[in-house]
Parts: sequence; structure tokens; C-alpha cells
Amino acid sequence: MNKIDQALTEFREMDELADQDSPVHHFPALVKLPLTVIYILTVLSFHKYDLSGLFVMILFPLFFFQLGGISVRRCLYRLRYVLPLVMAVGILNPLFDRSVLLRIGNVNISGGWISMLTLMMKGVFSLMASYLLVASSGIGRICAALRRLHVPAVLVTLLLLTYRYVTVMSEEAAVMTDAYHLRAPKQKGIEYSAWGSFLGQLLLRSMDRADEIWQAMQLRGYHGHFHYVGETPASLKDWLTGILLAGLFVFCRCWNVTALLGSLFV
Amino acid sequence: MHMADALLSPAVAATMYVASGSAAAYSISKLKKDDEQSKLPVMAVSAAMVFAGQMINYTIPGTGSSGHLCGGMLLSALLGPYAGFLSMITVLTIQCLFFADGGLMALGANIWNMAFYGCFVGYFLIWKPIMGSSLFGAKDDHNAERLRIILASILGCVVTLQLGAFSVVLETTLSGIAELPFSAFAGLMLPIHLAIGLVEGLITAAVLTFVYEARPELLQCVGAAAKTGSKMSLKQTITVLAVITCLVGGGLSLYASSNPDGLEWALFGNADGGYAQNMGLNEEEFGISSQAAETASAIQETTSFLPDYAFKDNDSAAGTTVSGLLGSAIVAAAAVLICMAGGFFRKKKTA
Amino acid sequence: MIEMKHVSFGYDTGKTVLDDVSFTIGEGECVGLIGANGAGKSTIMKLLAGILFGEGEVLIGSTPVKKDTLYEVRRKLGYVLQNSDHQMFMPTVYEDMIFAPRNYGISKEETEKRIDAVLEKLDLTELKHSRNHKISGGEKRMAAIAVILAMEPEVILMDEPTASLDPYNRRIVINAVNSLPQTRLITSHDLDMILDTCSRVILLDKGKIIAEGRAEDILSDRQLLEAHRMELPLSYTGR
Repeated sequence: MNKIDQALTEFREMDELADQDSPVHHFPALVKLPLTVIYILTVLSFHKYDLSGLFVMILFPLFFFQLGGISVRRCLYRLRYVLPLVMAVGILNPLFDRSVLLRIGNVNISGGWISMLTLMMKGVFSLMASYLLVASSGIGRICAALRRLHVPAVLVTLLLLTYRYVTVMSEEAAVMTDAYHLRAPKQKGIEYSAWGSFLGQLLLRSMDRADEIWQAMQLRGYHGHFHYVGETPASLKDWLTGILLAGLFVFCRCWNVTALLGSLFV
Repeated sequence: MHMADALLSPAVAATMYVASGSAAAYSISKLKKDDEQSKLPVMAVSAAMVFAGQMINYTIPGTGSSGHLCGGMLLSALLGPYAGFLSMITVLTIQCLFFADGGLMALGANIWNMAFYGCFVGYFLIWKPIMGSSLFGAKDDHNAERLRIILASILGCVVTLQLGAFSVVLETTLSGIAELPFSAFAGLMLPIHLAIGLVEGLITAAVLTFVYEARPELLQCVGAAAKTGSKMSLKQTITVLAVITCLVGGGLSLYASSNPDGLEWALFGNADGGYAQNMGLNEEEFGISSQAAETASAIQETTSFLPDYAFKDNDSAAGTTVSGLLGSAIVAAAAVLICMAGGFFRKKKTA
Repeated sequence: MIEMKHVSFGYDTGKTVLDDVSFTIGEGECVGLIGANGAGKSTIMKLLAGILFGEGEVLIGSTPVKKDTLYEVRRKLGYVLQNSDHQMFMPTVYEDMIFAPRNYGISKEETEKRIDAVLEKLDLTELKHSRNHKISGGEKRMAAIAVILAMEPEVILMDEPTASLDPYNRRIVINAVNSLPQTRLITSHDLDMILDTCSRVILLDKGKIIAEGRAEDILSDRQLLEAHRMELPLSYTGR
């Protein structure tokens, strides 16, 4: 399976996840979106050595993954996109920061190792949170929420239109790549002699496509307004749940809950 | 080059959101004056095409590796800077939401690093002046126009990618996340992205010349319609670019000389700290004087430690450590429990 | 309902696409527009929809198609594009169906009623909230027709409605076309479908109307069809 087909599969997967039915899915995106942002900001604001304090934050996404019936494993599979740069940066921390921060038995653990682990955890947690948001809302509800949050209509419309054609264009690109490789079985990618014409053809056709879409819009009376299905508005209960959760995040940020839990038993 | 959430502090992430948001708001207001409505489909389809195009592998002759497409330059050459910028935003947003490519918080930074430079700097400082000039020959000379497109594409991709890579380094350093020193990080990122930019530039050039041959009217600032010319002449542009380069380069070298904790230092510098042994490098063989190393280590000692975190073997610290470890174990157990409970609920539901 | 009077059209390059074309289509009539590639079929469709403008007079109902009458013309006219992906640019079938009615200021309740009626009629009710990029080719074509019907147009133009459909879905589309009361103009290379749906046929070649008449007469005329780069429909080959 080539890279594009792979991406298309992942795309459809997200759509299917968003179509499921669960309390997490029913929770309005208008609350979910800011909540996700607060969660990620909280996670990012942990000090680089505060590994134990950060660790407790894993419970939130995990809980909602389970509640929403969304597979954690599929989410972690996406890490391959996020981790390279984080790894590249973090892996050098143990080299540069060698102050001993922790001693377990006879093993000294330096600040660099701790900050590297903190960095990785931040990467994983924030990925889990945004994955959860998309997997439980889908692009439609997210865009509706964006509109309610006063993101300009042009941008939201453009996002939805692009989303609609990403699959169409990707399918076309996938067919073209397959056709190319059927005639060039030993090449790994597109050879330089075809660089221009390959993507150029795709580009020219997409311009024709755009013309026709524009006509289709005009033919149906378009004059500047898109009517999307909004989502059911957030109730007071939803907002209260959101505020409660946000408060919990902040609580975990201010007090090292992990250590508190541990000290109960020491 | 997608920036990740984990590499940003909330303050830097927010700042980048504000910066990118302002650029977006400006673009939208500019487009409104234009015929924004009729441009929507083109913008959407072009964005979708760039998205698809970025997943295609282009083999680089002579190497086993592959290159990818640089969206910003291509989109602004096709749609102009404002529409191109908005299209790039949607590409990056979809990549962020659906492929976890870059994170939700890093989106602002990513838009700035990849879309802003690609569209605004690439268009106003490179594409427009070069296409408006009479470099390589007259305006109506077919071959000269081709050469101008090739030059603008390559230069545009290289410059905008360098700026983007530099911003990644700057944002990471300002966030105080990585221990990797600024100059070392920059020293790693910039050369890599020089190579990437070159390849992306070649791919972009190939595509744009193809479009030029087939449907020149699709390109911005090309052909008779664009005779009005640009406000900034080529000479002025080169001056601006030179000044920017000097500023950035000068700043970099100043920083590097005053604070020699660069890659060299990392590799050979601090013998006492065991770096040389650690990296398996012999200081003598590489001929680095230990004088520099000593000053470097002195600087390192005074600057890099956070005193409150310097670990001392006292009881209270040990106490928190023990409770921290135990607490982590409890959290881990809770995590496992949650996962099991989820599985249990689902089974019950399907049963 | 549809009328073209001495219409000619050419591009700036000097190439003539349509040369003095005139025809009339009465109310409720279903007419097939056939011809080889490049005969000028799509140009006629585009002139009717006001996407292109040429010389001569084009009338939809009693309204002349001009730049300043487009709103009125397009309100009466539905154009089913050959590529359903281009026609359905909204995220879901439902959102595509409300697009036109809402743009023409039809109330929410009325729009809902219309949509449910159309989906019921075309037996597509379960597709209502499907995502456009996930439904199959056959479903997409039917949904595209539903999208146009939700406009309640008086005239429907259809461009290759059965292209790249399997026999099963093709039959579904044909039955749907036959069940419509509106004035219909269909272009296609699928002459069997034309025979099944249209009472009258206009044969076009090189921008000129070559023949016009009852579908059975024109589509069974092997000599005429072959002279203009076409073939007899399978129903008439006797195989």
C-alpha cells in the first residue's frame, strides 16, 4: 500500500470514529475544543523536571479514550509523525544536562534523562488529547465550534471545502502514482524527469475542477453563504463539566498529585 | 519540519498563534476587497492538491532518498500571497487534526514557520520582484521567463525554508525545553534544511515551469497581464535580503562567539564532564585546544544549572522522591485499571 | 420551456463551437442531446445555464438568459453535472441538499419537508447524513440528482447521468429520470439510456444540428448515426 492510500485509510478511520456514539461523542465540541486546549497548555506548562507531577495527567485522556470507545493503540500509532523532531531534540538532553537529580539505589539519574522523559510525555499526552478531540467530534462539529468561537467564516468554509477535496485529490494522486509505478517498477519514487509533469498534470486538472465546482456553486444560487449543520448547543451541564475538568487539570498542575498519592502510603 | 506541541512553552505557542492569526486576519481583509467568493473553490482544491502532492515521493537523482513538495511557494505563485496563505493554513490544519502532524498548540508556530514565510516572504521578496524584473532577458522572452521561474522557485524555497528552520530553533530555545544549545541546534537544522530547500525548490521549479508551458495565465506576475510590475525593484529586494541575512548571520555568530557552547563544545569541549569520552571522541586528535574547553566548561557551570534543582542528599528530598515513585506506580496502576474497565464496558455493551 | 434561437458560440481563438443552433423543448418533455466528442453538447448546456454567453437568444421559460437575469434563470434550472464530486462540494448529502434552497431564501421547515420528500421518492433516506466522500459512485450520482431536485427546478439539465455506473445503478438512474415530471435535457453517449428516457432526440455534429426527431426514428437510423461518428444503440442491433 502506498503512502497516499495509507493516509486515505487513516482519514476514513477518523471519520468512522467520529460517527460512533458515546458520552464523549455527545459532549459538545464547543466545550471540548477549549478544554483540549486547556489540557494541552497545562501539560506543556509543567516544569521540565516535574516528571512525577506530569505523569498523573495521563489519566484524563486514558479515561476519555475508554469512555468514548476509542483505541489508544491506533492513536499511539500516529506518534510516528510527532516523535522524530521531539526525539531529535530530547535525545540530546541527557548529554547536556548531567546534574544528578534522582538517585535510586546506586543508580544516579541525571536531570537530562528526566527532562527527556518529560518532553516525550508532553508529546504523547498532547497528541492523545488532540486525537481524542478529532476522533470524538469529526471535522464537521469542530468547524461548527470554530464558527461559534468567532473564527472567520472564510477560513471555516475553506477548511470544510478543502477537507471535502482532500480525499478526491488524494485518490487521484494515488491512482497516478500507481500508474507510474506500474510502468517503472524499479523506482522508489517519481524520477526527476517527471517531477514537473506529474504534479503539474494534477495541478492543471485541479484548476479545472475548481472551475467546475465554482460553477456548481453558482448554479445553486451561491451568494456568499454556506449553510452547515450546526451542532446542538452546549447546555449548562456541559459547561459545568468542562469547568470542573479544567479545574482538575489546574489542580494537578499546582499540586503534585502523584507525590500526594504516594505520600499517603509512606 | 512540523513543530511539535511538546517543544513549545504555552507562552511561545500563544505568541505564535497571535502572530499567525494576525497574518490570517490581514489576508482575509485583503481578500475581501478582491473577489474572495470566486476564489474559494480554487483555494480549497489547490490546498487539497498540495496536501496530496506532499505525500508523493520524488526520487533525488544520485541518492537513494526522496524529496517532497514545498507548499507555500507553489500556492503563492498560483494564488497570490493572501489566498495562498489561507490555503496553506488549511493544509496545515488538516495535517494537524487528522495526522497529528504538528500539534494543536504548535499549529500557530507551524503556520508561521511554513505558511507565512513561504507565502509572504516568498512572494513579496522573491517571486514578485524576480518575475517583475528583466533578469535573463526581456519580459516577453519565453526562455528568460522560464529561467526567472526556476530561479525564483529555488531561491524562494531555500530562503523560506531557512527562515522556517531558524524559527523552529528560535521557538524551541525560547520555550526553554531543550538542553541543546541554540547555536548547536541552529548549526544542525540550517544545513539540513538548506539541502531540503534546494530539492523542494527544484521540484517547485519543475512544476511551475510545466504550468508555465501549459497554462501561463494561471501563474501570478507572469505574462503580459502582469506588466504593471512590482513596487520593489530587484535591486532593492536583493538589498533587503542581504540586510536580513547579515542581521541573522551576524546575530548568530555573535551569539556563538560569546557563548561557545556549540556543537564543538558538545563534542569535544568539556573533558571533565566526560563528554569527549562519552561521544567516543579524542580531543587531541581533533586538535581542539583545552583552553577554550576550560572557559566553556566554566561558563557552562555558571549558567546551566538551576540551583533549586541541584540535588542534595538530604532526607526531605529523598522523601519526596520515594513518594513520587510510589505515586507514579499508583497512577500507572490506575491507568491500567481504566484501560481494563473500558474493555469491560465495551464487551458488556456488545454482549 | 427551453428555447434557443440562432445561437452561435466561438472562443476568442476564432474556433467556432456552435453555429446557428435553434431548437425548442416543450414543457415536461424529455429530450436527448447526442453527438460525438467535441460536437458542442456541453457548450449548449453551459449556454442554457448561463455559464457561457454567445450570440443569439436563449430562453428558459419566458426568461432570456442574460447576465442580469441569472438569479431568476438559475432558480428555475437544475444542472446535474457529470462529475458528482464537483457538484457535491459540501461535507454531507444533507448539507448539499439544503445549499440551494437556503440560498434562495426558502424557510428551514419548507427545506426540511422538501428534502425528506425527495429522498423518500428516490429511496435514498438512509443516505441523508452520509459524508459525500464516503458514499459509492452509484449512490453519489443518485444523491447528486436528489440535490438538484431539492431545488424544485422547472428544467433539469443532465450531463452524462449514467457515465461510469454499473448496470444496476444505471437502471436505478434511468428509472429516476423517467419518474420526473420536469422538462429534461440529457446529453449522453449512452444511446440505450437515451432511448429509454427520451421521447425526442437532437443530433449534433461540429456545432450544427444535423437531425431532430422522435428518438425511435433517429436512434434506429444506422446510416445517419455512423455518418456522424456514432453507433446504433444495442437495442437496435438485433443482437
